[in-house]
Amino acid sequence: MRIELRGIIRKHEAGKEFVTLFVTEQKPYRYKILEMGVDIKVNRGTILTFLANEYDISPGEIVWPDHIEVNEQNVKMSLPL
Amino acid sequence: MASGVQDYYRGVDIALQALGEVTNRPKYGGALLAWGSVTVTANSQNTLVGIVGKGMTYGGAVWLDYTLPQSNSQVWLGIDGYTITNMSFERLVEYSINNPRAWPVSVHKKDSVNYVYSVGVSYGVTFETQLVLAYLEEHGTTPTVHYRLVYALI
Repeated sequence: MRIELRGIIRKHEAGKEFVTLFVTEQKPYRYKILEMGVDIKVNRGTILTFLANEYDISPGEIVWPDHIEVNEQNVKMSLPL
Repeated sequence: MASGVQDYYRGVDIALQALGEVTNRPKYGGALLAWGSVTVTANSQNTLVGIVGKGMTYGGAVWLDYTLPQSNSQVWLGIDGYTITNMSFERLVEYSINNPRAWPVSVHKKDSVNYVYSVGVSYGVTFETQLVLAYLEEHGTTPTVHYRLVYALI
């Protein structure tokens, strides 16, 4: 099974921040929605660890497209003022 | 050792119109919905939803009904780290910026008597790495902002 990360969504609801991942498994355009957590720190390492645990594979087996950009500390989700 | 393309593969002669028809469609995944309500922080930019990925918007709405004015507050849309629209409800109404095909965030309602405000997000706004929908509160109060965003990812 080829696991590829396609999107990271951080949405705010009722005072909390919910982090959701969209991945593809065998079918390239059918997304699987994974709830990663609430009010958590999100970076490349935590995402790969989460997916590796979810699918019981090593982090190196997860496909990370070039257009998915996260910084080392946290996903920056604000705009320049 | 054999090499090259198998014999049963043949090129298509476009000039001869060898194909009866060709299906052409965007290769986006299925439509997705991000939604929620945020009690925003006064005099601050508040992120409503952030998306990391590559995709396109299909539409959206941001609205609030409140007991105090919010005319100068703004709904911001950021694409790939750049703010592409940040006009206040007042400015959108003043200049009738209400055509979703002309501007990515267009006003639907600004009722300063009953304090009802709403904007829409246009179809077809593409993003290569990131989309952020945010609310800048400018009146020193804490309204609850509701949002819906329909989008698709590659």
